Amino acid sequence: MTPAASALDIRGVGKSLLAEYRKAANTQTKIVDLFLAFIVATGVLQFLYCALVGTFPFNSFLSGFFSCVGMFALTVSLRLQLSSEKNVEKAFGEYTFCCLLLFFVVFNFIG
Amino acid sequence: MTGRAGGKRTIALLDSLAILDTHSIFFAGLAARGHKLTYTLATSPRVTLFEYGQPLYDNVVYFAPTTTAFTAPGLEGSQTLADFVAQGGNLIMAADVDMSDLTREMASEFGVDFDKKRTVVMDHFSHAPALDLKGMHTNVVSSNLIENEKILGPVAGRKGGAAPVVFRGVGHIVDPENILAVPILSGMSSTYSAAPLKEIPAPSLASARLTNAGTTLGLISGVQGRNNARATISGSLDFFSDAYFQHTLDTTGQLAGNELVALEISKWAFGERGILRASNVTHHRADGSNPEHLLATKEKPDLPFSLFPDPELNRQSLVYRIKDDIIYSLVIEEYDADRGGWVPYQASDVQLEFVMLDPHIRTFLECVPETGRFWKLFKVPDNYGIFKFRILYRRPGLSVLAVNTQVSVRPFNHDEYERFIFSAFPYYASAFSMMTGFLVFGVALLYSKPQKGDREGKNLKKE
Repeated sequence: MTPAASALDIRGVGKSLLAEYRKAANTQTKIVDLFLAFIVATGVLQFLYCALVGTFPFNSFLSGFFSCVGMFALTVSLRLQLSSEKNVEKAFGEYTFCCLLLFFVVFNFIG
Repeated sequence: MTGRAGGKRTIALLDSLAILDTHSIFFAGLAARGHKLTYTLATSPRVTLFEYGQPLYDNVVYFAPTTTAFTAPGLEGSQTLADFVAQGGNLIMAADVDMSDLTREMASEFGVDFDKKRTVVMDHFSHAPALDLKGMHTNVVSSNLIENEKILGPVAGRKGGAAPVVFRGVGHIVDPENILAVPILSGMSSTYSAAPLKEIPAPSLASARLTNAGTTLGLISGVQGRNNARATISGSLDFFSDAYFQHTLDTTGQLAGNELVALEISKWAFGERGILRASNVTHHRADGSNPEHLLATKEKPDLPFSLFPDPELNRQSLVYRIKDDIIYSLVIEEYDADRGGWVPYQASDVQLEFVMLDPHIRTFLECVPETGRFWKLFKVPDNYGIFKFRILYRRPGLSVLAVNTQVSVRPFNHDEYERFIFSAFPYYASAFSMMTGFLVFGVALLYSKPQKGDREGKNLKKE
């Protein structure tokens, strides 16, 4: 393939990916994905802030950043589980338990 | 350390008793201020300055430049006057053209180096011809007086200052790096010191010293020791004489300023002016609370009674904390006999340092004029350890004021740190946003209705 064609190809791939996503994903998945995007944005913002201002309360930075990372991991696991599990409440219940553990740790470390 | 003020027991050591007559106005002036004068010959065998180690006199007027040796058992050569000043006594010493080696050595004990033997101070432009015996212009008229109100009193200063003074004697130099010495009377720019009738030697490698001349030529200098005792050394005995006090200057027709200047100098020289003392040193926090003691006394009933339970620890040490606001204040007074003794001191340049090996804070104290109270509010720095409040105040004409007060500074207790750190607010916000996001997400996930066109969730083999 010529390079120009492959560039077009990438854009084409992206467009078709987005179209497939809109068609294939159901509301549940979209909600989870929104939440994931929010978590990523928060994490990136925090990281930028730390890079600008410095790591003064380092434990606070680690704890805040870890809350984002941990939530991201847990939410991705929930998304995986939801796509194969019919019982939403059971999945969400396990998710809640893990999140509470995460919050407990974050709160103690944030100072 | 504070200076000793206003001692009145004065002894005059003289070459001959004729000096009493030729210098009667000077001694009368001293007596009029309340000095209890004793006159003896310097060579008298019964002169004694100390008795059982204590000085018998507060001040010495040494008008004996030609004395070559002391005969009294208590006086030991050139160290005599230096020992007296070292014990806190004040001194006015006058040399003369034919001064002895003893006088020369005694003056050099104070850092005043007189010019070589047989040299005289001369000035062909600024001199008093009426007193000149041999036409050699040795009676120098100088108006180069130090402009210091503590030394010369109200006479100092250009406007309304003292009239020029007449001086006949030997010049001296004082090391310019000597911080204890103050030039009170110096030569005019046309004054020089040389052997009359002899050629002035050209400066060469052999003679390291240039001719002493000009405005750096010292005629009268004052030296204040580290114990705040003062020695004033004049190169002329005639400066204090009645003839010079009563001399009328030829150029201006006014009376020479000798009497005024000599008596004002003697006030400074004998500690009747320019002595500082500090009292009532206090320090406390800005909100009025006092610092704690380092260790609270704890009852130990099982130990036997002792007056020194913890001898290595200073229980009385006062403790501040870093970042405390503290106020330091003290009262400084100045002794001025003309203004009635101890009066409150006024200045805007008294410096306070908060020192632990190096000053961490250096600031001027604020002055309250009527009471002489100096105070300052400042914040303790972030370093902890043993600090001291240090005031080391040196000004020309005033005695040295050195006040040190030691305190301890401790770091924060574990519960005195700020609870929430301002720069960590974004991290707090993100953690809370995660939690609220989880709640919102949970509500959205569990209670959202499936929409048209949603694919059914993959059916597990539940049925």
